[in-house]
Amino acid sequence: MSRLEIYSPEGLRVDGRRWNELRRLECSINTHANASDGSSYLEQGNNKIITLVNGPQEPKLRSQTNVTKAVLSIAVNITRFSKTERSKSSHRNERRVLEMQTALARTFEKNILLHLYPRTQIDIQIHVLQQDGGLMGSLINGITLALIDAGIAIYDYISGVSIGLYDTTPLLDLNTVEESAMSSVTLGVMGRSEKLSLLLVEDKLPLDTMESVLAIGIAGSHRIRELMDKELRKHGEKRLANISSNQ
Amino acid sequence: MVMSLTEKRYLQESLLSKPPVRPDGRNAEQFRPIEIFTDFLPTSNGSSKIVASDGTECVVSVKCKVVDHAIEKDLIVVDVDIAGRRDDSPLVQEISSILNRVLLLQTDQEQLRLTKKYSFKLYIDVLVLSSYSHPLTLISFAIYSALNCTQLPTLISSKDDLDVAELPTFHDYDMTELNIAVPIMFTLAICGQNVIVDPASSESDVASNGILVTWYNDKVAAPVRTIGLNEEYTRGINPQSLADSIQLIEALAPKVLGALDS
Amino acid sequence: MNITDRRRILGPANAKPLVFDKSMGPAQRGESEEVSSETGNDAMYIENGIVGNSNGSSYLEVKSRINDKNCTLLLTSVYGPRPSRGAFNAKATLSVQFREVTLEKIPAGQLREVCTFLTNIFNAVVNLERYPKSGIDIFLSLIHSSSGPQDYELESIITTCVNGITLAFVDAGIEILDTVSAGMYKKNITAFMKNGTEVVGFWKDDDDNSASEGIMDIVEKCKEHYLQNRKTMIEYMIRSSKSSN
Repeated sequence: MSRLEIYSPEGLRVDGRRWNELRRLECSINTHANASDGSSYLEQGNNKIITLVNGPQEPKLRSQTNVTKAVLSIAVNITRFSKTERSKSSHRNERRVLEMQTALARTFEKNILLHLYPRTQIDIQIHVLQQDGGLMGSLINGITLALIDAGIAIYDYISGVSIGLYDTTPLLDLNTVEESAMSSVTLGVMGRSEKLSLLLVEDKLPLDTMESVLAIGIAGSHRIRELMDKELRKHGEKRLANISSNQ
Repeated sequence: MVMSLTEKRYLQESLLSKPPVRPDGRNAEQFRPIEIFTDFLPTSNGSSKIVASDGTECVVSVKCKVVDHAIEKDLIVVDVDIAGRRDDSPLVQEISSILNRVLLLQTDQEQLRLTKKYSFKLYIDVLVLSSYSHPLTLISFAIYSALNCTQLPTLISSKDDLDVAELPTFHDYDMTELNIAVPIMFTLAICGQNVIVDPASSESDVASNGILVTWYNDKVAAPVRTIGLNEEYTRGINPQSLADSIQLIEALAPKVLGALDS
Repeated sequence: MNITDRRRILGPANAKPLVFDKSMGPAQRGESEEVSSETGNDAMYIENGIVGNSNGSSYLEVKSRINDKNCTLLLTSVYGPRPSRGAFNAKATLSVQFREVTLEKIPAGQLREVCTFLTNIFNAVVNLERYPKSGIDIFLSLIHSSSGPQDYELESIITTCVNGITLAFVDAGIEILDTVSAGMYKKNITAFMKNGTEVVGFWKDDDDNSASEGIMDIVEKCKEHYLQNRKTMIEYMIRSSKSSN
């Protein structure tokens, strides 16, 4: 790892990006129309993520019913083949994955208008087909898109991105190589505001650099929101055109 | 989809009639349209995604690893993960056991031989995103197309490494196509005297019995066996139906393979 | 009674233990009997009603006449119909559980395949409508299985399982549509009912010898074995019912 030049004096990273550049982000919604109520497929760099939303539906177990609001459950399935080297364990019930699920559930419980759907359950299934750093941010973006496709009421987009700190330079949207070389933070930003609905710090980070890290993170998240919004509008127009041409 | 008793009865009777009337208007020997995408995972040696028209979807990835074949005898391992089902549920265990055995027994392991000491070991991971009817047919189609597009690194060191011990080294970017014959499997439903291929979930719910037929090297191979498609309507079948289903597969399989290869 | 019970307050030192009258032992059901088919290569020993707390049970010993080493010993017990909890079910649900009591030789996945195969056969055979809201559990305990060069022969085990379950159902008095039995030919198994006119289960495994044979020939060969097995089973049942009367 140490042989690689993470950030060159000319200001270029391992994959040729500058410090404030995002990876390629492509997304589509309604990809699994027959299998779920809402679905999305997201490619953020080399992350490939399928998100399926089922619900609001009747809870399978009566004990899980909440009379005042919907119950949200999130299952993250990181496939064995998602990394370059095939992993031996199935990642299910792994502590890291369970923590990710809880963090995601807490983030989205505050964003979905759960009180509109009492006595129901909303199931979110995420399958990670390929991962290349900044997984948590991609999961957030995938869920946001799938929830919008499912037509579930949410307050605003949440867009997620990871930011690393290389010496004193913040680097936006890390890949695996960068992620293993420096400490990083994952943000979930509400819409166009500067409100954070998720701030995940798993490494040590000097407090005085936090401001610049957050600033570039929020700017990056806003850019991701724009990209997702553009795709959604395009999709919406296509569907509208389909409806009107069928009439 | 949950059907009422009356709906089931109606469906059963229409499937029993000669020729069978299927709810989606198919012939007895007609498949539902399927879409296959291959080679979409750059970190895997081979990959495929198959989507059936009812939303059943299955992703297969093939990854390889160099192993000493004196230590590891089984050079193909299949791992099945069906979303919404536990790893120790009967269906998952049964499917992965059948696939492991079929692929190990039928495929020619010599093709994975690298040098005199080392071989490629193939890890086939199956992820079923959503399934409505018995997913075995789709899984086997997906494995077939994934293995057929699998690219393995090209060896540049010598093949004989018994005298001079050396680790196999590979070309930087050249890949060799994996060339092995892969068995495919069909599930058929039997309704009275009729045999129908690719039963949809509603048809499986009222079928008298199901049959699993394996096709390998241009002929029907083992395992062939009856499988339960439902608990309620399972009945004994006429021995002739067994022969009928084998005949049907013998007629159909070459066409299916032709479609998968194209 | 010499061990002092520390967990309870003891009675006076001269207290005598409570002794009940010796009751009659449970009536002996199903006398043991050596039944062997006159034709064919297998000798079958059947005994019903061995497991006392089950609703019905059977013990089968199948030995090959040609090779002493080929031998399968299987104990089957049936529990039920017993009430099942949860949602209403118009029909009984069957479950088959397979366990190797002595040496565990068979991979878990294959056992699972066998269990679902057997469940499917008996779903078609047991008159499940007769027992709503209930569950019937079948427990198979394989005591011993050996087959010449191999550690075990799955095919002969499956055949024995089918026959054993049928006998246990008869012992339990659970309604079945017919005396189902299985026949084996090389590595093919066919389970028949209704005098061989209906197939309830078919299992063909890897076997180069029978690859060229047509499926109807295989079924026909299995049928011969089925008829022998069924005859042996029925003979035993008639004899045991006579002796218990």
